[in-house]
Amino acid sequence: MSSIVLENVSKAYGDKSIIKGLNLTIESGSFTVLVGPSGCGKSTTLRMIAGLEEQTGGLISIGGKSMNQVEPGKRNLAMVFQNYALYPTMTVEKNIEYGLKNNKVPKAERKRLITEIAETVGLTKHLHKKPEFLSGGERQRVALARAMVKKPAVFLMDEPLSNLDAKLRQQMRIELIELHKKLGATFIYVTHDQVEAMSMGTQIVLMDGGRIMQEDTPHGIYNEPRNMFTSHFIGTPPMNILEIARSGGILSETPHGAKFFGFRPEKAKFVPEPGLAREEMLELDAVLSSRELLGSEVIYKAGLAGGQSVAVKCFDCPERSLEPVKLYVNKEHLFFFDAQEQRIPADGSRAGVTVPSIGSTA
Amino acid sequence: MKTLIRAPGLVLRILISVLLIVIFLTPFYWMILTAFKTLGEVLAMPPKFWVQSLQWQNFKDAFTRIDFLHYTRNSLIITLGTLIGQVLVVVPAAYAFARYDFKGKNGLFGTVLATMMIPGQLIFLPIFVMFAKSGLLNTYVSLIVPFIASGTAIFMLRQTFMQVPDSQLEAARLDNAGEFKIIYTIMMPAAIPTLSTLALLTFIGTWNSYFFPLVWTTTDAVRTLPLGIQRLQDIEGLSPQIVMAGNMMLIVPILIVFVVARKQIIKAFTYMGVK
Amino acid sequence: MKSRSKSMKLLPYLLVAPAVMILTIFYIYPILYNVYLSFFTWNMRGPMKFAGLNNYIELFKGRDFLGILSNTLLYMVMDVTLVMVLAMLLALFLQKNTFINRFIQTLSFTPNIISLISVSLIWMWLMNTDTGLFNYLLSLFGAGPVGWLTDKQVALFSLVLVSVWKSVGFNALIITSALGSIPAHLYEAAALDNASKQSVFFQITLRMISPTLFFLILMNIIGSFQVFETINIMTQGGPANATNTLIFSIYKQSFEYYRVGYAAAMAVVLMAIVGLITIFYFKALNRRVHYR
Repeated sequence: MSSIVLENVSKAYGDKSIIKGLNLTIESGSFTVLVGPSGCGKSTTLRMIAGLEEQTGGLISIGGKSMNQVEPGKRNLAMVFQNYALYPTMTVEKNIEYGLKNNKVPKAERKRLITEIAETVGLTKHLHKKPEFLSGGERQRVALARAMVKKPAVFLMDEPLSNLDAKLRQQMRIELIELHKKLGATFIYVTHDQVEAMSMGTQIVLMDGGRIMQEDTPHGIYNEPRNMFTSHFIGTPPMNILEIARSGGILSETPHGAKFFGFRPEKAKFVPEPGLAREEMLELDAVLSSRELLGSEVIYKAGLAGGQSVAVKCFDCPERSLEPVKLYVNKEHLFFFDAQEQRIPADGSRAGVTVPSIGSTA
Repeated sequence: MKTLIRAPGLVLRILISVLLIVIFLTPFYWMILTAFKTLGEVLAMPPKFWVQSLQWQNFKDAFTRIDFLHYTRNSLIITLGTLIGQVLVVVPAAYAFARYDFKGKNGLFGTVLATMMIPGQLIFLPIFVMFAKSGLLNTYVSLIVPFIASGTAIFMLRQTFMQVPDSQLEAARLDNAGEFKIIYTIMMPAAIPTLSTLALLTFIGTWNSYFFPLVWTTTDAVRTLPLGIQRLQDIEGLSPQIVMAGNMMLIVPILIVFVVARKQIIKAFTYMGVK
Repeated sequence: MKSRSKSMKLLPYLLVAPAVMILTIFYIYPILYNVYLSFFTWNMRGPMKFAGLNNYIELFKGRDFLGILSNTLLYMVMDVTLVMVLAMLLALFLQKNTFINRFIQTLSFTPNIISLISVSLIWMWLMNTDTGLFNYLLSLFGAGPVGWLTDKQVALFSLVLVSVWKSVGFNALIITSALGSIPAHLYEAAALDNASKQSVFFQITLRMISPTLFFLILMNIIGSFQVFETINIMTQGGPANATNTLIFSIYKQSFEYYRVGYAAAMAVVLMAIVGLITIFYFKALNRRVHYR
């Protein structure tokens, strides 16, 4: 098995701490996406798993074996780099063959594997070209082929699609998902793009400032954000977060310790949901200030009393002029956060770790 | 109007161009001309600017009056030895300076750069004494080893190595390649233009080298072709046609290389001048 | 974790070791050894006798050395001035990238890759007093003959001519490339400011290439201090010591008169001069960088 375990892993460059006491288990066969803003430590984490960087402290093990003293080339993993890192002086064939050669795979076997992999990724007719003569998409395939041919238990990918144009990226996303299903290997994928993370991952690890903010399924991370960072990072536009104190008492009751509340832009409606009692709804007076048309959906920006503003996303709705409106949000869709920006669960069942006194809400 | 104003300028330009061509071409022309003259034609006054028939005999004479092959072989051995030695010594050093952080790196690299500023001709005497004391006088080693750790070469190659993206080395490490394998399968192929430039510079420098083979040898055993040509001048100084024939045989290999790799050589010298 | 990095820590030292060792043995150590030798009297065979500062005292008391030093400085001043001025003019003349200009540039560069001994032999033949081409050409104008290499008023200048012919093309090439790297927008801005040709040349062109010019001057100074090949082949330091310069003299003292200590002392003096000039250059360079 090839599950990957990071125990209390930290990384610092001199005085500068990048990763602080990271604990993470990546299940064998999962498609785990490490996502977060730039500088959050996601790439460093990936590179430590690869062995390209040595952790300053802690333990990394793959399939139950400690990797701390294992060379990168002997960890039974392959990596696809952001810039592909193809060897420019070698042909496509030699690029793919290089790792096999270093691992002393016999020549006949190498030839067979290369032919097979070239067939799979559609590179057969490019085998004798040098990378500089290939298009971006073709280079991407070479990078994949070079990783796949080693039949590793773990694939590491560091923003592999960021150099492709939007259309090709879309297509490659689907191909990678299919590839993951076919190979059944563990994929660890680093990206700063939350859309990529949500659409590809079976498991998402959201990081910020060298710590894990939330580790969940795409569904969980969207619907049950555990803190304000998560709620803000995932979703386009991000969740509307308002300060309770500045909202002029529009909320009749708030959980104990709550400082902020929020709702997703698509949960704000211009008309009350039918069959919903008044007290089950939050009612906001707002002035629409801008409008962004994105085909089937429209995003409005709305200013509230007290200087705060929210985004409203609606689907298939007629265009509105920019004027004062009333917004309605089903109270079921409200999220509450405490002063430490941790989520206060509605039912208290998924208590945030840093919130001390959930029980005394009622 | 405009052409009238420009005409004198153009005439002047053409005149200067012709003058420059004459200045830089004449010495070469005079060497070649002399090399094909008879002694009578050489000494004729006024001098002849053309020859009746080509005196190939002059080349044969130059070839036999000195042991031309002996000197040529020494030149080739020392040039080749320096090239090989340079690759063996300079490539690893440049790689380490480009790719590793280690204690004392700046000091060591500073030392390498400082040696580029030291004129080698100033210290021929202590090195001669060192060779004399260690029995290395009149050996190929004495004319090869001092030149293989060239600071210029280390500097140029380091610049090239620094331009190889980190991710390529990391990819190679993940492909289970060791450090030496990385050097010769990833770094050296990436540095082929620089390496060939260095090889050209080394070839030109070593083939032309006159001072050190002169001062670090006491016998003819390992002396190089330039010294052979000087010997020719010593014994045939009164027959300029033979000396010039010998001189041509010394120059021609360099000129051939220059014609073939003109652009690269000029680029290399430009780089050395502006670094 | 440490074991993986331990061998890696040693590796870079192993990689640089051969180069650093060779540079130490053939550059650093000889400099010190040379200073050491300069305090002894030694003829390469017998025992070395400690001489204190005697070699230096002899240097500066004797008339020979001062003559040699002034020859060297005179040669340096003439050589560097001529090379720089002519190279500048040549570079400006060849600035336009036309076929004929590229041809002249390549042609003028060619002497630079030819060995100095070849160049010396050719020019010695051209400068021959009786049968040389130069004196024939002069005679067409009723002038000469000039004892290019035999007249002590002329010989040193003749050597300068050879050096200039050999290196002017190389220097012009470097200046051309510096000229080419001046951003065009500076000239465009100057044109909009209605600047005169002279002021564009002095305020923009010369200023922008001055780092290159200073570097070339330094290289040419150091190079001209080392003049040897032309002297050894064309004049042997003569006539009447008129072309006897430092390196040639160190060579003679070492291998003809076997005065190792004396020769080493001369080398120390030359090294000090070169060192001072280099230090001065880098000091000046630092200050300029500061101003910018």
